[in-house]
Amino acid sequence: MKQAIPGFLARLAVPALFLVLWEYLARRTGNPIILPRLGEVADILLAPGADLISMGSLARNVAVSLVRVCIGYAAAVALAVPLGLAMGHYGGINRLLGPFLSLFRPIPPLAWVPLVLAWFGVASLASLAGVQRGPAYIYLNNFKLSMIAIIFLGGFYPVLASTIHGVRTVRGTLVDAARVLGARPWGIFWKILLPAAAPSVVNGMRIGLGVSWMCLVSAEMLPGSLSGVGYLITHAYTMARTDVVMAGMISIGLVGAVLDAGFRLLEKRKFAWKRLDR
Amino acid sequence: MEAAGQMTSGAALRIEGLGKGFSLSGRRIEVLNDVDLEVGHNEFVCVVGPSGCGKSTMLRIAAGLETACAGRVVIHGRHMRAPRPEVGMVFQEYSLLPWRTVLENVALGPEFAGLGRGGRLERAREHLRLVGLEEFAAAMPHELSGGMRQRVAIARALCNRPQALLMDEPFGALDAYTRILLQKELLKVWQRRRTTIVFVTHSVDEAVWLGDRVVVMSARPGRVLADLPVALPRPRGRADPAFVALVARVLEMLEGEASLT
Repeated sequence: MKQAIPGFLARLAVPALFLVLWEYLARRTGNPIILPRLGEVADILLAPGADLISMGSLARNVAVSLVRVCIGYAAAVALAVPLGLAMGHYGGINRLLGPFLSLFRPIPPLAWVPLVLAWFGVASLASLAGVQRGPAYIYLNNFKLSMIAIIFLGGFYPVLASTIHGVRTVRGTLVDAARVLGARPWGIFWKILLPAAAPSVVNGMRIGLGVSWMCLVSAEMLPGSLSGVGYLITHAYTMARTDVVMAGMISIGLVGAVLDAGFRLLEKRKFAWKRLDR
Repeated sequence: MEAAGQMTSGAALRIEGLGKGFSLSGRRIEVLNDVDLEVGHNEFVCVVGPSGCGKSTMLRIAAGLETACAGRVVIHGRHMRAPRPEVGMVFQEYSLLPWRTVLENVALGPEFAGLGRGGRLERAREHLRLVGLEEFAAAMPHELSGGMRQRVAIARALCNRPQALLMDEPFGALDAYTRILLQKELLKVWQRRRTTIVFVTHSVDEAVWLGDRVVVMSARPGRVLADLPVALPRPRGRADPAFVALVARVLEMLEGEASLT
């Protein structure tokens, strides 16, 4: 307990110093377009329900962004996990798909923007669902396929790579032991490979969610976008509202950190055996 | 080849003309060469040999985990082409599933056989009691010492009620004191729950202390050098002159093998 207080203070010291420096520089500069003052940004963050530059509230834009990321990320996980399990377990599938998939891996999701736009244009979930008008249309039209594709690409590779790695590094003795005990291939898959690889899969999901979330701003810069934190930032930039830009950036950082912390908590709770296993 | 004549023998486990080799960077390496061995019902046979003599490979072939290049292994009349739950195996390396409790680990065999949760946990608890670890049922494997983990692995193998139990240096990673305790424990379990055991070890002392017979294998490619009955009553005294003499005799044979390589 004696250690806890200095530790807590040490964690706050650097951010506090950073804020003081920010405020000092903002006052010296005296130009809110170059660097707004602490209070101006804080005002926006502390009133997340207030309308900003007639684009809706910060909270609403963050929520729209979150839903977008969730859709693209869910698609990435749904495809990458089964594919990774298959590629990790069956050498043949890995030889078939591995080299091909690694060709695309180094391409940053942002580089896909022109192609993705050419393919999906301004099509949205509304066009996919065949909804033409009404409140459902307004809602669904917020989620453009091109944005979801960019977010998907961001999340896909980290999840795939970790899943393959997780399955590959399962100790051979565990599989041998299960076979000797009478496990059939399906039993080995469900009761040995999947649980043994789970910590690595979840770690990949955490990293993938982080990358998906980082792809958000580039995705929301795409044409047809009228909401979301990414759009809020670019729109605020054109209006020289640096305070809104910074509030948007901080929101992205906070939400990303919360998502990451959630995953870390899950890893700590569920996969303690991985740390303790020798 | 001579084994072919003994068609009617009541062996529980029979290794017939077993041969195994593999290619390592283009070179052919012969691991086992024409190994013959018979193990009777409920017999405890220990196999010793210089490292790399293929004794572990022989056990893996017997378990159905690897295929032979020549010959075959027959257990209770069935050719071991693939693993079968009636043939259990205990490995040297730590082989418990680290995300399951001790009890759930022991219940793994019945679980694969499709036994319901209540039934398999009951059976697992009974086998955990057999190795004296019932109060650790809810523990996780990482909470146990190395010796306890191997006892759990033995309980897990026995939970399938195997006709034969193959043990691949199960106490190899343990310290000398724990090792002796586990040898005692294993004999106790075997005397209560009779089953055929083939026990591979590096330790001549261990082999002579445990086995009804000690099979000595040659250096690679492994063959059976000698098959020595251990006609000493149990529990055996390690200071007993007959025990010491037998250990010395086996060690001499192994020394002769080592000088050949």
